[in-house]
Amino acid sequence: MRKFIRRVFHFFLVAGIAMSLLLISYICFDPFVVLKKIYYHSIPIGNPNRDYLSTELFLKNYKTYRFNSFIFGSSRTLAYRIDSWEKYLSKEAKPFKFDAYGETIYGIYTKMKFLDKLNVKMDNALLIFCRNITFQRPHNSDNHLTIKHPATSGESEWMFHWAFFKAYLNPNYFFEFLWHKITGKQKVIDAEMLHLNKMTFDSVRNEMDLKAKENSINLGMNVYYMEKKNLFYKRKGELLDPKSKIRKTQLFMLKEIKRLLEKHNTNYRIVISPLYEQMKFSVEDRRILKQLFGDHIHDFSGKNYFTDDVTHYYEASHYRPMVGDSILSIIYADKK
Amino acid sequence: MLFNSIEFAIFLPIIFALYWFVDPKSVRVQNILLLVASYYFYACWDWRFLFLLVFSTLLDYYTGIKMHEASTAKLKKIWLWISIGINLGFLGVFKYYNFFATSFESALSEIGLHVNLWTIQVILPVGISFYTFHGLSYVIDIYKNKIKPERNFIDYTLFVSFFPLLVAGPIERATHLLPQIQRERTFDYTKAIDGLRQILWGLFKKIVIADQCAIYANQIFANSADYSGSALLLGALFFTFQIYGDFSGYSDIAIGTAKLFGIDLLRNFAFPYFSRDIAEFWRRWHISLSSWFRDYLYIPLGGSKGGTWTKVRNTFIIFIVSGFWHGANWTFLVWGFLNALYIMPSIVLKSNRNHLDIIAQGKYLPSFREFGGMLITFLLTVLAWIFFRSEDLTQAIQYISTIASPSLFTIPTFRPFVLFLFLLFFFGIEWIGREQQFALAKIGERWPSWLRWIMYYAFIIAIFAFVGKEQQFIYFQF
Repeated sequence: MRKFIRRVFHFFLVAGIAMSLLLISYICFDPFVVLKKIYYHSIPIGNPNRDYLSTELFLKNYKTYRFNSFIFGSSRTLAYRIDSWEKYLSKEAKPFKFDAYGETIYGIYTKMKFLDKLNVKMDNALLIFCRNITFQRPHNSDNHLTIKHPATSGESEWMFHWAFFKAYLNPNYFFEFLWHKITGKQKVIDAEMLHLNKMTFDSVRNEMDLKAKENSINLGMNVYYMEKKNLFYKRKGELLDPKSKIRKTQLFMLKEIKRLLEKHNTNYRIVISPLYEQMKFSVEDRRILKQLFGDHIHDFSGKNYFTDDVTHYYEASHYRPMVGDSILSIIYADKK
Repeated sequence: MLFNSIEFAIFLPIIFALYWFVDPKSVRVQNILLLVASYYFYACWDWRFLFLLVFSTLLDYYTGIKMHEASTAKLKKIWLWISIGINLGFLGVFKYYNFFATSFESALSEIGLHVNLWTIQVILPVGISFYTFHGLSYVIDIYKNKIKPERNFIDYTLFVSFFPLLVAGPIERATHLLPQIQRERTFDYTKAIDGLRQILWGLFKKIVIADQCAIYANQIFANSADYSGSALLLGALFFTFQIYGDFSGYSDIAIGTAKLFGIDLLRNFAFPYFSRDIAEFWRRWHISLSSWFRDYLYIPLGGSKGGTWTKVRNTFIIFIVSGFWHGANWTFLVWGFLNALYIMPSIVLKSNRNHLDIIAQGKYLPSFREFGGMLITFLLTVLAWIFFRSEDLTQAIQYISTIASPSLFTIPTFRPFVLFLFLLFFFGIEWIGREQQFALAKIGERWPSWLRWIMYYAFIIAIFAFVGKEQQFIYFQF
């Protein structure tokens, strides 16, 4: 028995020492900024978890600023600037952008539930749905980029931090991070989509602003799109998504969202994003959404004015604020 | 509590320490401790189903004694059938009632009669199929005078509910497990180290192989109408590896865990994908269930005695019942039926016991003939798994038709190279270790310990790298 314990102890001691060193370095460096209460919108290697950052900023600021208007959705909410949205809201509106990378219906639903639990009023809401991500995963993710803040998901804090520690241990990440720590250099990723380090950041209302990027496009539009042409794949015209994405769980969440919006008497709009892919939301899903939300749904998916023009996009995933501004003017036409 | 959960990683060392340190000389104390641990383990799933487990245990304990005490053969038979009837009754209600009710409704609606039978909204108690079969083998063995009933209630209860095998087997026999529970157990260093190694290999199979294959298999099967034949073939292959990694991984963890407590469980898998024909496959796949059906169904039906027709009939019966044991769905029945069809030529030609040895024993590579047999057996198995995995028969048939279409020759959308590499590595290890109880048993045995440890660390790193949200084991649903 003693031999067994000694053997197992030695085995795990070696592993434990190595693991402890990694854990200590992780705690000291906090590479994803999820341990220290510092609100970084960009980190040296990779991207921060936007869900975590949004939720932390909200928790930090909501008592002071009394937010009562929210934009929910993925990084595509970049196109919907708070300043533009405010024009259509009453003077009492205090907007906050509650976005997350790859935001899903699960994320939107849990955030609304979380706000409701905190007794935060939702006077106005703008929900951005996207064909390819919103209804894909009706549960939490275990990826460090998309896992939800435990405060909104109600899931284990350990699992949340485990996701980041695991990402830190990924050899690709770990060695790149180590290289950065030693040399201070960052690997330049040419195809990086959003260039977070070139953004300005409103740390109260949680808004990212790509002013530098917008300026560079406006100064030399042709040059920008020539340089970035590899980021735009060739499209096949309008396609119809043949498969309904709204299943039983997603439908339940949609109904709950509707219940919460009605409970708060929210003035809300739901936008189906004009994506570069030009694929139309499935007929069945449009029917379900229309049945649930009626005129609050505004569908811009498929081939249309917004999606035809390549210059409406930064790359094949994100559309520009000029598109967001036009969409806002359409969906709030009654407020003009 | 899943074997691949943090809770289990905490639970196991605590129980291990208490077991060997509190009173290692007292079998009674050890058994009580294991029993409490087993009930706690089961209650972590759903404590309400503990009542069912206790009832089933009491039933078989009591009927076993009553059968033994019965003064006439008729009375003995009555007690046997009471036990079988109630055990199968519970299984029938929880597992099959809804299936029969809805099938009956559909059949009546076909002839224009519309009835609305009520269905029950209850989740299947985890492990019910396994502990019911456990109990049944015990009472049948008593009935056949193979064993005497166990009078010690704690020992009997532990036999039914020993936590490593409680929820998904291996399905134990009283003749094998009860004597181990009754006798004094001393700590065996070699067995304990072997157990840890088997747990490690089981976790690797589950987390690195099965769970990663599951990502693709689930996506492809869930959207099978959207994919080409080549992608669907890949999906079927991924499921083939998933179900093997999942269930044999679970069995390895269960057997390894039991070894830590000085208990040997029955072997459940013996490298089934290296089988040269279907008969060999079924001697190597889910061995504890196959042998259960052989001993308690096939042989009582007449087994191989009698003419060819009897053998054919009995083989079809056990395979269809085996399919039905997996779940109340036509897909499982067809899966069972297909396997019966596959095995039929060897039954008729009496070649079903041709391959009782291990493939390419003592050699590095199989012969051309052996390889051919292995490949054909594997492909037939893949085809049958499509039925097993599909939601319904329509999906299975469409799935197979798409595979059989020209789109089979297109490049599949999925090309997870890292997973391919892991699968290659996995099968390499399995091939090297195929003559052992489990693949990792002897690998590195003669290496210096530091080198062997590096290998184990590599496995641990791979497990940590792939561990995500705890994934349920497939066989828990059965």
